[in-house]
Amino acid sequence: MTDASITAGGAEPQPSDHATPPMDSPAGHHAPGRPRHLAMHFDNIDQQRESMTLGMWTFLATEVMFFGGLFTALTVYRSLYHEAFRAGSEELKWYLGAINTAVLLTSSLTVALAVHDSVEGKQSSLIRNLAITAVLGSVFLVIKGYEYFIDYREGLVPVLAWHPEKPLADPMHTQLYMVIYFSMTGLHATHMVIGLGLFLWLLHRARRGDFTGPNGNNTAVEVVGLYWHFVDVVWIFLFPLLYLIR
Amino acid sequence: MSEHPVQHPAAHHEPVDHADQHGEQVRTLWVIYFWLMGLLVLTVVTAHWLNLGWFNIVIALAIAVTKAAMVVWIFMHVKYSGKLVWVFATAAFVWLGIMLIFTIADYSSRDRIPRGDQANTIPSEVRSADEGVQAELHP
Repeated sequence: MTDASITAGGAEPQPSDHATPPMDSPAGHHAPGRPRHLAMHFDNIDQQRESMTLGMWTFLATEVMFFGGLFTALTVYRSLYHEAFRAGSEELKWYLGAINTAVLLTSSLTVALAVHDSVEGKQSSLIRNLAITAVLGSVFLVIKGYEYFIDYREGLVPVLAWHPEKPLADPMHTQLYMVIYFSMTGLHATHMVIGLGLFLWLLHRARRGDFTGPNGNNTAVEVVGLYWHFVDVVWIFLFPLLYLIR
Repeated sequence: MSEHPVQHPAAHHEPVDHADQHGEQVRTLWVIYFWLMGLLVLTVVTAHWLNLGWFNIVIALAIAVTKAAMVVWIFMHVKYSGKLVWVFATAAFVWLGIMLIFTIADYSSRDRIPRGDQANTIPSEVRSADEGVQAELHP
């Protein structure tokens, strides 16, 4: 069973790590018997992996707060101007939002499979899943861009193009809704663009064998994967709150 | 470098207690994926073809929380990570909850403050302090 051999190898970091602190060695973390990808300030690879995971989660906690402010604004204004927000929500194309949710959920699956491949050392499957993720991320952005174009054409963009065809009972606060809509989806799309760049970088490194080779270290795949799943979680809340308010 | 499906000492390094989870993990990922898609269909159907008034938003949010929990717990490996990761992940959402609950409590209780003459609702010591500041600023 391949799992067993891999984990057995992995669960046993270089035995001499504790005996000789890396700082003593003139060659630093490239000392013989020490994996190249183990940074000098870590005792072993498990410690390094857990620190990186924790660091990513710390960043994601700040991201929760970042988006949280906007979610709070949406909640408050939605309760204050419910009818105006409902009118704005009805102008959006809910089916495009639903398709995009499906695209993003599928990309989350391919990321999870890619992380699994990187742990198992399956290079070709890893490359395929990373590539599918990048394609799905692009599809999301294209659909989102098309949606923005429709909003522009229908005069639903405050300041730039505001001339809704349907008469609105409270146009001022429907504009407020559209501002929150563009802020939240725009911030989310920015995260998608950054994520897309990260996946192209991972793809390049995966092709080079950085994650699956004999000296491979898959931590980068795991950490970027966490980021992508988080962006997915944000959209999981954005979709019902923005598109399905009735 | 070519593929090396087996035998990389120190290259792959799952912590010991998750050793035998990988075989069935792929199946778990697919099961979670189909649940997520099913819940997506459910949330669209309930929002559009069921008219339950305010209860619609409760259903939509309950489904969203369920989906997010599945992604965080399984896809983001919190289930398989150490306690410290679990604490950090939970803390983020707890603080978000504090912000939302306190803000909602504020806005939903503003009507209960007695209205009337604006000045009378400000405690007298605050008002006199403010008058002192105003007198200094605009003598």
